[in-house]
Amino acid sequence: MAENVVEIEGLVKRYGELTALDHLTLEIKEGEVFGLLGPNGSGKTTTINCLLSLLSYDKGSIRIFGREMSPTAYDIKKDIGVIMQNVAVFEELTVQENIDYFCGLYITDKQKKRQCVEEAIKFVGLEDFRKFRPKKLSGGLLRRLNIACGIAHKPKLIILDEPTVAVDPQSRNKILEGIEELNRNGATVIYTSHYMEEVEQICTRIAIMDRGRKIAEGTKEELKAMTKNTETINVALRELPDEVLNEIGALSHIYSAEYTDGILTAACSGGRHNLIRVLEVLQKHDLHIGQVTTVQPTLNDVFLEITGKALRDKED
Amino acid sequence: MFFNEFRYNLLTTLRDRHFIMWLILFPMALGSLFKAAFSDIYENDIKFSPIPTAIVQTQKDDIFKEVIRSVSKGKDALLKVTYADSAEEAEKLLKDGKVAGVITKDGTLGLTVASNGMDTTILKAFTDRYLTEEKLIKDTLEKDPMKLPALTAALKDDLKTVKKVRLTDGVSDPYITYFFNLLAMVAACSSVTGLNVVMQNQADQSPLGARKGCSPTPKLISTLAVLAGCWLTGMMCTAISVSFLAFVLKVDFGSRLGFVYLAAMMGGIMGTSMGFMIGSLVKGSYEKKNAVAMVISLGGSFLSGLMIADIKPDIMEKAPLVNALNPTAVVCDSFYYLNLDADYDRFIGKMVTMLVMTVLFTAVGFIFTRRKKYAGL
Repeated sequence: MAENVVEIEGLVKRYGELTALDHLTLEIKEGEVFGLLGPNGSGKTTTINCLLSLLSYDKGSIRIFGREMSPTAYDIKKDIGVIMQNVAVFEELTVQENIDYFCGLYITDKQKKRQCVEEAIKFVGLEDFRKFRPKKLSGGLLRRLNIACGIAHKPKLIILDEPTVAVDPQSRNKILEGIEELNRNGATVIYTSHYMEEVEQICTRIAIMDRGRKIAEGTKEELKAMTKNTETINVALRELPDEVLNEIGALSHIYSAEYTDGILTAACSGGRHNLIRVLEVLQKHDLHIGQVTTVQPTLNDVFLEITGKALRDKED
Repeated sequence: MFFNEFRYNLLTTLRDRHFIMWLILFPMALGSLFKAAFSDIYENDIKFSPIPTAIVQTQKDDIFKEVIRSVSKGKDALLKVTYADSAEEAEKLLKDGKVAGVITKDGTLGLTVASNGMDTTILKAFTDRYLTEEKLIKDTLEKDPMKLPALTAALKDDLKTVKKVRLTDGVSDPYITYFFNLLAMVAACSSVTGLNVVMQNQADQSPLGARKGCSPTPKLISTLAVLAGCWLTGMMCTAISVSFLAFVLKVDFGSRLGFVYLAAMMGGIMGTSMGFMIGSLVKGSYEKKNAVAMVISLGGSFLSGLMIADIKPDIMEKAPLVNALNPTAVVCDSFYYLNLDADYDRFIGKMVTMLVMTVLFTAVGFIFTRRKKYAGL
């Protein structure tokens, strides 16, 4: 059984009256890609800052690699790679110099450092930009530089705090693929995001946070199993008489049926062949059927069901 | 780890265009402006002008005639001579203010002057010197007349020195003080580089600070390395300014240029440490810290006479403590004392004050950065 790389127990962090972290307990095992998912202000970044001893906390304990974490725990810090939410690079240094600088905070051996820097540049695909200053890079390339600075020293534990904010889809995919590769190479990854698609894509285990508390934890399958909804059927129809809508709503395993703006939405809970049974009812009444889609539940549905609100704002 | 921090801090600072602008180019521009503004005044007021003198010679004296001819010819003449036929005519010239003095040579050598002043002092020195060296001049003229020009040239130079020494004596020369103040301002403005020590090493100040806080480099080493880099840049800035003033603008700092460099560079170190202290004491954004640093630096420069030269003597008289505690004034005073005093006692005193201030500022900076708990991160 894999050992715990990170153990957070009963962590409490208060800012005056506001409780930013409310008795948070987490265990992250070696080799995992652990996702911290939650809306803005849910406590993800506060958790990371406490984890890294950048923030003091009121109660609880944090152990990394089996040892107590503290601001002076340099032997622990040397094995941690950090990619912050805000890009942290020197504007006056080139891509290569930036990576060399951050790598130099961890590695003193010149030859080893040079090799690590080269590998990091290749890893994030910035070979053609090594002499560029950060302000000449696009948002996506800048994020890649930020990642290279965080992983050049080959850490055992990599913490990424919303690394894809304001990044174009191409760079986002590149970043996510990179994280998966780092994990395959043996690194344990902690990944915070409010993009549920990203977390679903790369994380092996996920904790959902809200208002400083962990509200659910498990694999994505385990989390989705927590919801009543197993499938949502959408059918475009020109018209839908009320008696037909009621008939569909009365079908077994369908717990909700609505007709709004020409779309029939039927929410299912368990059962098999739900779509076929819905379509059979519609055909029986000789209704013209347009586009048909089925949607599997998402982590947003899990969040919605537990908290009664959406995971992130629409503009996100 | 120390060298990594030191090296890259130096690189980032030297590539920072704001730094280059304010600590290198701006002082050069201001120095050039001062030079342009004061060069005419130098030419007119400070450059030695021959002293208008009336000569009344009633007896034939070839030695005297030759000496007067020698000291009144050429671009570096000591006297501007008007020969009068009679004592009355010479007195009229003196009365009308057309000459500063009348030298009469009959059996003896006489000097009549209208009032006391620099020119009178020199004329008196000239006549005294002539009387003491008359025999030497006579012997030279008789035995080796070729050596007479060298002898009279030495006489001229010695007497001109009387005027030069007096002119650079203390506050009577208001122009060099502007350049002293300019150097002191550069030293004080080095505080903006000192702010970087805090910005780069405090987790609650910048993403870079937070990022570095996660690394295994101890904060003390990191802070010391960045501070050392900033000290070096502060020293470089002041040294560049001294070099530009001394060798490009040809500002005359006298024979103690090496000590001017030393005082300026010490000032740069002190200014940097002051910035470190301001950065750690003032809460809030970089802009706020920078504003405080600039107000203190430029305010200090104002009080030490950068904008109005006469303000400093007033402050020294009415509020000596302000002058003693103003870092810019301390740097400025070190230059004054270097320029005024024959010995180094007061200069060393100011250097020690700068050193003490540096230690104090650095210590306060360290104490307040170590106390941060990052509650507001």
